[in-house]
Amino acid sequence: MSELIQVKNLTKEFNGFLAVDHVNFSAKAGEIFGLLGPNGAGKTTTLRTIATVLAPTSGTAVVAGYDIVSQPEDVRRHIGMLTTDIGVYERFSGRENLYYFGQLYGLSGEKLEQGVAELVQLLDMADFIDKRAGKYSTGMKQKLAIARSVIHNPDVMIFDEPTAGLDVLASQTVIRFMKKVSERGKLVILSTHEMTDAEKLCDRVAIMHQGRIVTVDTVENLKAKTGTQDLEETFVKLVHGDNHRRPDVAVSQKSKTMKIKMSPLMMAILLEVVSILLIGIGILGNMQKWFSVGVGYVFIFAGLIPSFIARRQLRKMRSGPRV
Amino acid sequence: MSRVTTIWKKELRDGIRDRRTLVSTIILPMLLMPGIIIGMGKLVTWQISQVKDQPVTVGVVNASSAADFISQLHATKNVAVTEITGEIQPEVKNKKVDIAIVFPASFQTAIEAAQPVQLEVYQNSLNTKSTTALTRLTTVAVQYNQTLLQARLAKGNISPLVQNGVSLKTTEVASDQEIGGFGLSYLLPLFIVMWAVVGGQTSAVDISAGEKERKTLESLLLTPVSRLQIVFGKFLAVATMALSSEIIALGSMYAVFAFGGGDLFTATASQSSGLVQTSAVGVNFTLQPQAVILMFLVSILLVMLFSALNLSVAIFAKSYKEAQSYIGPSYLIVILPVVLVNMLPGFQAKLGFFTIPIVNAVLLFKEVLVGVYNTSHIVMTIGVMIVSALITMYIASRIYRREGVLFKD
Repeated sequence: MSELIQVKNLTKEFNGFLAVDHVNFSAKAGEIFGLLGPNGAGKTTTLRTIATVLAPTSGTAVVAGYDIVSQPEDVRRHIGMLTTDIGVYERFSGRENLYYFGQLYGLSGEKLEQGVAELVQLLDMADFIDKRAGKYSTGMKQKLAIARSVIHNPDVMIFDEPTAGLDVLASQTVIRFMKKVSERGKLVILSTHEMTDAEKLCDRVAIMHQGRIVTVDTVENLKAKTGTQDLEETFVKLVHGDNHRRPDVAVSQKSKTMKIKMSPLMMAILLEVVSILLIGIGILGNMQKWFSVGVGYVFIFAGLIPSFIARRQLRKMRSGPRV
Repeated sequence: MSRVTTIWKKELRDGIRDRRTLVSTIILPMLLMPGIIIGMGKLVTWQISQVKDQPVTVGVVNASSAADFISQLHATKNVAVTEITGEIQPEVKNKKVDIAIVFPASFQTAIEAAQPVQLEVYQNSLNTKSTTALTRLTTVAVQYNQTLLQARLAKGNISPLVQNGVSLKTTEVASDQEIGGFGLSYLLPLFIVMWAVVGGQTSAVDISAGEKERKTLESLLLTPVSRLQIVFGKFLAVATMALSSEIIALGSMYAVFAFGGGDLFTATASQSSGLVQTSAVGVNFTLQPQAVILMFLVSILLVMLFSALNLSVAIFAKSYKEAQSYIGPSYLIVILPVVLVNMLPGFQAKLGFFTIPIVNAVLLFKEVLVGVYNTSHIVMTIGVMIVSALITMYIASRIYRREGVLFKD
C-alpha cells in the first residue's frame, strides 16, 4: 500500500503561540489512522494545515503526491475533510447543497448525479435529501456534511470529531461509513478524543499532546508498550508522562492568554486610513486659495510615513505560502 | 471561471431565498422611492394648504379710528378680528390673539392729511400662526396703501402710471428641461450613491459574516477553489444585488415622475426620438441617451467599489449583527462628503476634485444632468473609479487570505 500522507516537521504558530510543533507522521491508503489527543492538543490545527485551509509556519506535508505549500489546490482536490463545524446552507435542500459542492469540485452531469445518488444511499439520506437543510436534525446535518466533504470521491478523507454530539444510531452510520470507505482503499484520518471509537476503528494511532506527536503505533503495540488494558488507559499514561516532560508549552499557552494586542493587520489598515486622510487633506488643501501650499505638502509627506510603515507591516505579515 | 459562476449563482439564489436580503434589495427600493416622492409631495401640498387655510386672529387696539383698514382686514379670508382692551403683550404671548396691531387715535386724521402713520405690531415668534398672521397683515397693508395712493393721485388729477418709473421684464435663457435637470441634480446623484451603498449591504453581510456565523465558510475554503475565485464570485453576487437594487430604485422613481405621483406631480410622460422625457409640476427634465449611458456606466463602477468595500468590512465580523454594526458607520463616512458636495450652492469643481472617488461621480452626474459634457472630467472620473474599484477588489481578496480574519474564533 502506498503512502497517501507524509507530514514533515509541520509547525503552525499563531502570534507567538506554537499550536503545532514539528509534527511528523505518514499514513497509507486503505488505513484508518487515528489522531488522538485532548481538547487543545493541536489536532484540528494540524488537520486544517494539511487540508491547506491554514498555511504552515514551517515544514510541509505531501498529500496524494501533492505538496501542501506549493500545490494547495491539487491537495484540496484529493482530500475531503469533515470539520467539527457542520454548518450547511440552510436555505438549500440537501441535494442542492451536494450539487453546489460537487460543482465546486469540478463535477457535473451524470458523474455528479451518480455521486450524489450513491452517497444518499450509503448514508441513508433518501428520506430528507430534498427537504430544506434548515429543518434537519443534528444527525441529518452531520450526514449531509459528510456527503458534502466526500462528494468528489477523494483519496484521503479526514474526519474531525465526526461523532461529537450525535446519538448512537447516527454515530453508527458515521462509523460504518468510515469503515466502508477504508475498505475501498481510501485513507481515513480520524481525529477524536473518543478512545472507544478509536480503539475499535483505527489501524494505527498518533497520540498528540500540546502541539506535539507523543507516539505513533498500532493500538496493540501501544498497549503492550505501556502495559495497559485499553487505549484510554494507554492515552492517559502517555499524555501524563508528556506533561512532565514539557512544562515550556504550558507556560507558552498561559502567556498567550495574558497577551492582549492589536492584530498586525488591523494596525496596518489603521495606518493606511490615517495615511489616506493626511494625503487627502494635503491634496484638497492645496486646491484651496486660503490654504498654504507648503502646509499641504507637509500633510502629504506626513501621510506617506504611516503608509510606508503599513506596507512594511503587511510585507512582514505576508509570510508563509500561497493558499 | 465556471467556479466563479457557480459561486455567483449560488449566492444569488441564496440571497433571493433570504427574506432580509430580498426585502432590503428588491422590495424596499421598489416601495421606498415612490413612498418618499409621493409622501413628500403629499406632505408639501398638505403643509401649503394648512398654512393657506389656517385661521388667524388679529387683535386690534383703537379699531374705531381705522374703519377702512379694519374693513379690509375683515374681508381677508381666514382672518378674525378682535378688539383688545387690556394689555397687549400678554394677549399675544398667551396666544389669545396671533398678532396685535395698534392704531393711533389720530389715524384717520393723519391719513386724510396725507401724513405718514406708523402702526405698532406685536408678534410672537414662538407661535407659527403669528408668522402667518403677519404675512396676511402685510398684504392688507400693501393693498390699503395702494388704494390710498390711487385715491390721492386721482384727487390731484395725476395718472396712476406715474408711480411706475422703471419696470423689469426677464427672459429665461435656460429651457424647462435644463431647469428640471438642475433641480434633479440635487436629488438624483444622492440617490444613486445611496442605493449603490445600501443595495448590496445585506447581501454582503449575509455572504461573508453570515457564512462565518453559519459555519459554512470552512467547507467552502476546503474546496479546490482559490480564495480569489471565492471572493470574485461573492463580489459578483453582491454587485448584482446592488445594481438590481439601484435599477429598481431609479426605475420606480422614474415611474413616479412619469406616471403621476400624487398632488405635487402630474402625469405627462412621453418617449420620443430616443429621448426620455418626463414632466411634472416643478420637475420637467430631459435625459439625453448619452447622459443615461454615462450615468449607468459610472453607477456600475460605484456599485463595484461599494460592493468590494462592503465585503471587505463585513468579513471582519464574526456574526451578522457585528457586521451590521461595522457597516453602519462606514456608510456615514461615505455618504457625508457626498451630501456636502451635493448640497453646496454654486460649487464649481476644479479638475482636482474629480480625482476623489465617489465625490467625482456625484460631480459628474450633476454636470451631465444640466447637459455639460466635459471630456477631461468624464475621463478622469471613469479612470479614477476603475482604479479605485480594482484596488478595493484587490484589498478584499487580500483580506480573504488572512487566517486571522477568516478564523477569528
